[in-house]
Amino acid sequence: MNGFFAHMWPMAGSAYASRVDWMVMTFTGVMLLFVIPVVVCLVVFTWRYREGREAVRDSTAIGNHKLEIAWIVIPFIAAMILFGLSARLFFEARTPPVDALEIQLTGKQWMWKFQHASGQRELNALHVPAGRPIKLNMISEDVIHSFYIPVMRVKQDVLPGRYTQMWFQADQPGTYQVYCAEFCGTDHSAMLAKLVVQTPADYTRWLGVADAPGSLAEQGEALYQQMGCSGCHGPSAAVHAPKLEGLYGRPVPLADGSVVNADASYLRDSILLPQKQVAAGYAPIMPTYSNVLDEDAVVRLVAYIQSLGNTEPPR
Amino acid sequence: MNAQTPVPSYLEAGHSLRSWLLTTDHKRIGVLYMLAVTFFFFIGGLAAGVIRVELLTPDGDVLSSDGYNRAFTLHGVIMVWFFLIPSIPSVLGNFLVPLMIGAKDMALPRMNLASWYLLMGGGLFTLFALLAGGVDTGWTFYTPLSTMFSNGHVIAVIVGVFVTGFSSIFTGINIVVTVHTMRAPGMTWFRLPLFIWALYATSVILILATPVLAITLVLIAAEHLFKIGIFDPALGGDPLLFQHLFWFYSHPAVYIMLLPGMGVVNELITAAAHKRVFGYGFIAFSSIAIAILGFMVWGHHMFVAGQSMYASLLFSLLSFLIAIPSAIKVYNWTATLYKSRLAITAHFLYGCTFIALFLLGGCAGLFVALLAADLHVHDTYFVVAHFHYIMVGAAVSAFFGGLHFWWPKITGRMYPETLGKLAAILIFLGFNLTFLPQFILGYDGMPRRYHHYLPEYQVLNVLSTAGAGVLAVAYMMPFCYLLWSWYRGPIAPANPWGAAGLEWKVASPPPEHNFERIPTVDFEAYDYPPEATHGRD
Amino acid sequence: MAGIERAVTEQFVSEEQRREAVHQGMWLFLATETMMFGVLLFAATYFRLAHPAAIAEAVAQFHYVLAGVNSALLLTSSLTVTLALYAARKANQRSVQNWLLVASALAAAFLVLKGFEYHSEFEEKLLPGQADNPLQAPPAKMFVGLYLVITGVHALHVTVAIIFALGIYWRLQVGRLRMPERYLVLETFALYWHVVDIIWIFVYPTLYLIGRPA
Repeated sequence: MNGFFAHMWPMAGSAYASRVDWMVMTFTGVMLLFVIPVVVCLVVFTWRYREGREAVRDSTAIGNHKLEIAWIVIPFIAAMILFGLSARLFFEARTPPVDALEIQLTGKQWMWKFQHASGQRELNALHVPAGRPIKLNMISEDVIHSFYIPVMRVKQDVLPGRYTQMWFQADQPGTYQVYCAEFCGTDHSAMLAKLVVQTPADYTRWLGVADAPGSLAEQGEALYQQMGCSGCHGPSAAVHAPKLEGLYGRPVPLADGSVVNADASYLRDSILLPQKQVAAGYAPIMPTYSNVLDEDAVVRLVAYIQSLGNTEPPR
Repeated sequence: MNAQTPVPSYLEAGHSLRSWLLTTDHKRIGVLYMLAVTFFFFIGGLAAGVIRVELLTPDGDVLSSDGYNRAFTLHGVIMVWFFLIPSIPSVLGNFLVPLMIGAKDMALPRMNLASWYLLMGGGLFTLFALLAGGVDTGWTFYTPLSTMFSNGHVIAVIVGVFVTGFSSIFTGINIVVTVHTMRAPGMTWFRLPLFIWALYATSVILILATPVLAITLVLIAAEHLFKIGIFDPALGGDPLLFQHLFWFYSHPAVYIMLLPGMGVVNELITAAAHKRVFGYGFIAFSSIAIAILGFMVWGHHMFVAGQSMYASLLFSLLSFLIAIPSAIKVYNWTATLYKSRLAITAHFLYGCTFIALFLLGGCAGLFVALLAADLHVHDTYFVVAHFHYIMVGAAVSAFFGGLHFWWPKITGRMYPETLGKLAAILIFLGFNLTFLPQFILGYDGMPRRYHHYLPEYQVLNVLSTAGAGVLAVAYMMPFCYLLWSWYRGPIAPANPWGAAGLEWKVASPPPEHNFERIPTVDFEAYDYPPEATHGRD
Repeated sequence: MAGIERAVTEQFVSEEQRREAVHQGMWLFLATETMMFGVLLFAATYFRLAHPAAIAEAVAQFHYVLAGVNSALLLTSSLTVTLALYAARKANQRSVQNWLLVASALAAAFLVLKGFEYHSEFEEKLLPGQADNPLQAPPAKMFVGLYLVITGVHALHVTVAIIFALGIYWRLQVGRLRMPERYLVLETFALYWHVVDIIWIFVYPTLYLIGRPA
């Protein structure tokens, strides 16, 4: 399909992508089944019943309830089947496997920044191992962007102020194109990236070679010390502040009576917008760090807190 | 033949500029709107031309990135609000609604004139803002880009669009009130031409949806000016709230742009076929169904925006449902041709163009309603192709078809039929050449609103631009020969097509007050006698 | 009857039809106003559900007593407009004018009190962009901004209503309108006035009362 005349079809980079292609083909086939008869009728009727041509015109039909119901119900059933197929695939695309390898992504005008769990940072390129589910935890530093990998057939908007997730599992090693797919200003069309899928062995080698100032959690610990967080959250703190050990993934009762899960979003809000969800029994005195910590720093702190007692957030 | 002195037509009732600019005659207002939307169509079309020229080559060598972003924003803003939305309701609707229902004018003629001034005022103001520096946010004004990061005249453009919104609202109110209160005796709802049903449904949307846009624009302006933080997450706001509010208007808005075209096609097909429409009731109610369902599907623009999975599922399901009333219309139009006596006129060709391109564009719409497919093609050229098939391929073709069909009634002149047919065919071919490659580009991964792109996409882009060139020529043709015909075309009889409908019972062009005496209606819609169809060939 | 305005065109076949058309036109226009304010109140409700504690903090700062007085003023003004309609049906031109003046005065008082309210909010440093804002949580500050937009848009509508009222007063004064012949004009104006009032009846609890800490 590609190369001879024009590039027409992206390769399917994952099993999911192939399934999407199949669904799309099925859909097209079903549509043709409904469209072709209409077009044929249009052409045939136009030819047959045109003025000046002898034809049988004895019809006074101005309606036919049975026919109308039939051509409502049958396409509706077909549509519902297609909807069901697509919904199933969609569920799959939006439910990252529990054992996915998580990589942090920050989008900003007009570049993509990545942080691997073991601390490697990348700019506009993302190295991942083939055959493993990869989950991206994404946030924007400014406007809405969208991370789009055509060969994986997925994209997800990257929002400011809130984490969004996307996952995929690449089948084969190779280098694939990534685009920003939500208009984000002047250099939107330049906000590209490369997805570099490697064999697991090559990936391990790359991890060893790539510069990493410590794992994400280690970098987070350094920040924790640097920002003086233990001044309130440490064991010998004079101030009454929630303990962070074992916090990640636990339910947290809030001051207004509701209960939230201490996931990455909660932790991020606690650091940048501490007044948003105040834990029950604590005074709302935590200052905001939004003027000293960017999104990259926040994910490192979150990784550190996660490492202090690792409970997987209940699904 | 009558022995009375001929009544002067509406065109002859006053020749001064003042008699036009202060008119309350719905027919003159329709003509004023026709001039206005033609002007805006040109501007938007020029912007499209610039875009397509830029996209001939992968590099951004014609405009700067900022310039390109302003160009596609201008194209979207002008085409949506100053061409598509007013086109059929305010041009053909204003002209025809009183004639079709047997009234002497619209119910609220001064409000009608006011609506034209609001369009012109808002339109010229917005145009000025778009040209003097422009706006680079896209016509969709997503936050926080538009509120915090744009370096263009966002507020000015918003003000212009806000003002024009009231033009839409007034037109909608006028049509609803007119249809409710001014139908001629005997003109029951089910004797109305289906064009009226379509415009009525459109007007309900105009009235209920446009205020949502208005207040959303006010919120953007407030955010921009006073930084109140409604859409800024750092201040506790939510950028997604904007998207919900915006699309709650903008999805019904696309039905504002489509439904009137569907209404026109009813008239084109039945007149060409000299036959009553198949399934009148189904078509009438399908317009109402589209209007109602249109308010329930806005989230299908936000499948990847960060809304919940379950919301996305619901919106996808509802989006499938809305295809059903649309499909009903297509089937019924096709069935109308069965055993008809079909005159293959220019307006019939435009009707066919609508049906064919709407079919393709509608299927593409179902494609993007498929959740798993949309994760791939959202914000790519696939979506661009989809909405251009509907908005241009279908809606603009219907507008042109209607212009041709009612041209004799509006102007009293016949246009050259052969040129009309030629232009229709050229539009069909040029349009497909322009937008069919874009479906492929989109599935292949080319995102939209890209100033420069990767070289592998060039061939299809070149095809698309070539098509745009053909389309430009094709659209120029009617502009030339219609204008020519107004001055030099042969005089038109009252009913050149032998069509049914009250508008064809008055002279071409109609007298100032339409009917000397309000007619009493005792016939059904599209009451072509059997001889019209069965008659000798 | 020179000087009395008539319908401009002859499109109506009867006065009944004209009345019906103008009524429907106004009701449909009021539907657009409802949609507009509906969106604003929806936004307020949405934020209240998303950040209940912060919004409560903001609402606690609002001057609900003052706004309560304002509500009474507006409601009373609606009463006076209804009384103007009564007087019009009895062909009492003078009375109509008087009631219109009273209604305008009450609505103007509403605006004046609103001005005082905004001023005290300015003094209390609650407005967006002011330093030393006593409100801590960002959503609370943002809600004040939303409150300003909602009440500001409403105040604009009150102003428009006053202008309409005074316009009718003047036309009655110079004899260009007579009641009850031109009752339709007054009736249409009254519809607008009442809707502006009814919108406030929804705005007041939504902004000032719901979620207000005890």
